[in-house]
Amino acid sequence: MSRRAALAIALMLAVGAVMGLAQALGPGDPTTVFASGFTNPCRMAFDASGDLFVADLGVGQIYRVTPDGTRSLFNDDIADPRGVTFDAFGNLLVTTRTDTAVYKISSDGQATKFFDVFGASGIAIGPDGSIWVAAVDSLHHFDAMGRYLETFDVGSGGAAAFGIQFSPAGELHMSSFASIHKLVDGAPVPIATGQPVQMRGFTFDVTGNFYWAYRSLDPDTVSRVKLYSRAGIVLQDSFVTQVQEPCAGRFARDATGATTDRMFIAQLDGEIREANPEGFPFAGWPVVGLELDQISEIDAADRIVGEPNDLDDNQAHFIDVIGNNDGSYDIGDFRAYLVETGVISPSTAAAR
Amino acid sequence: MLNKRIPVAMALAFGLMASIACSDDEAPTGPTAGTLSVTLTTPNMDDGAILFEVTGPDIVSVSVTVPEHYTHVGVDGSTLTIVVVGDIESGLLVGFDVSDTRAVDSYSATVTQVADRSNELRGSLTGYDLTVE
Repeated sequence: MSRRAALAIALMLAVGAVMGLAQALGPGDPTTVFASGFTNPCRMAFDASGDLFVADLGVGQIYRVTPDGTRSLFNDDIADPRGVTFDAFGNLLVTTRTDTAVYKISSDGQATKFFDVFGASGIAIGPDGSIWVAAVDSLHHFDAMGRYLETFDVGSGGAAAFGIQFSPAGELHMSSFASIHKLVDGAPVPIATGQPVQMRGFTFDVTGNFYWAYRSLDPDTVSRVKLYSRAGIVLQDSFVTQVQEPCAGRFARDATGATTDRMFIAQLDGEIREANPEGFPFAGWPVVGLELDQISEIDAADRIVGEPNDLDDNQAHFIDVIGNNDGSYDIGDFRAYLVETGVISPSTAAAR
Repeated sequence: MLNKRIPVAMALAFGLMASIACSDDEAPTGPTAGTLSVTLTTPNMDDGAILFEVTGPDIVSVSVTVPEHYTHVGVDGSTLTIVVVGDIESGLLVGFDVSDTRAVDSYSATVTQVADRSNELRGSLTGYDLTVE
């Protein structure tokens, strides 16, 4: 912690003590206002250039917020947006309950209906680029092109009401009011249960520890962000306390797309606050499991011609999905990859 | 791995040098370096990618003959594995430089995979042929 931050905390403690409002400050304090004026900014996603996208629940507006906190309306065509994430192609995917659909918004803000899911809420992109959607008491799984794959009943693990995220180990975790479960062999396995009600959104760091927003309804208890180990043990009960009714946290990405140690915390009062980055021991874990731009053209080509390469199985699977989707990586898939990345032009003779 | 994008002019220059060498009245007395070409015969009009192998001694480099094609080459001993992506048609696919063009019969080329322009893999390679000359 810097000397300046330590001084700031000491000053706040002194002021708080004088006013009778003293509370334990955590490593993520002090916080500062990053953006404000929202109604309910609890669903957030960063794009690969470091801009933050915020779905304002209930008012049907999605905003882009640049790294300096300037916000602009990105799209207002989707009523009741519920969850947001970027897919492997850089499109913003948005769940909505009003018309039971998942929408895809291109980089220029144009929304199109992608596929149907009843009661959709949280949404996440897996390590292979596939799409996971939490809806009521189920998890629905679609491939990267939006084709339905399977559904898992997670009713006993909670309704996954407040977001789903993949851990660094590639395991899908889901948050309900008082518990976090992970999906193992299609079944929910408890990680942290018996927590206070009103536990809300969460996000991982690169070690697999997770930060979980706690909105306290008890006037004698402070709302805060709590830090848990990947096994669900509370590591820091009050990691961030300078928050009011927090509902979600996201680690920011920088201009290169790398996830940083800057955490932004959404509050139900319409503010988004930034925690003190010097309090975070590790950078955040990317919430998008796979992005097309991260796949090396040379690796993809070398795999085809049998040269040593670093294309992993998830990437090969993803390229197959966007190609001919026949279960193996072949030259048809490689051609699709070259077209999708703009290396070659799509043929006028292509049937698709 | 061999260089995948040699300028066409350079490839043509190699060809010109080879033809000049062949037009000489005297029979060559030693190895004649030059470029051999791989020519495709396809039964289809909508090929979008092809993977093939070229086998033979002392292949120095591969040259791209259709600039619009994407070409990538892998090397394993005396075998080159080459992928060409684009609007593939019958005709010249690639050239490759060798230390002795007189040994053309030592070289062979075999089609491994073909995909159409909708990215679907061809189920049959019947009718496909590669010629080295």
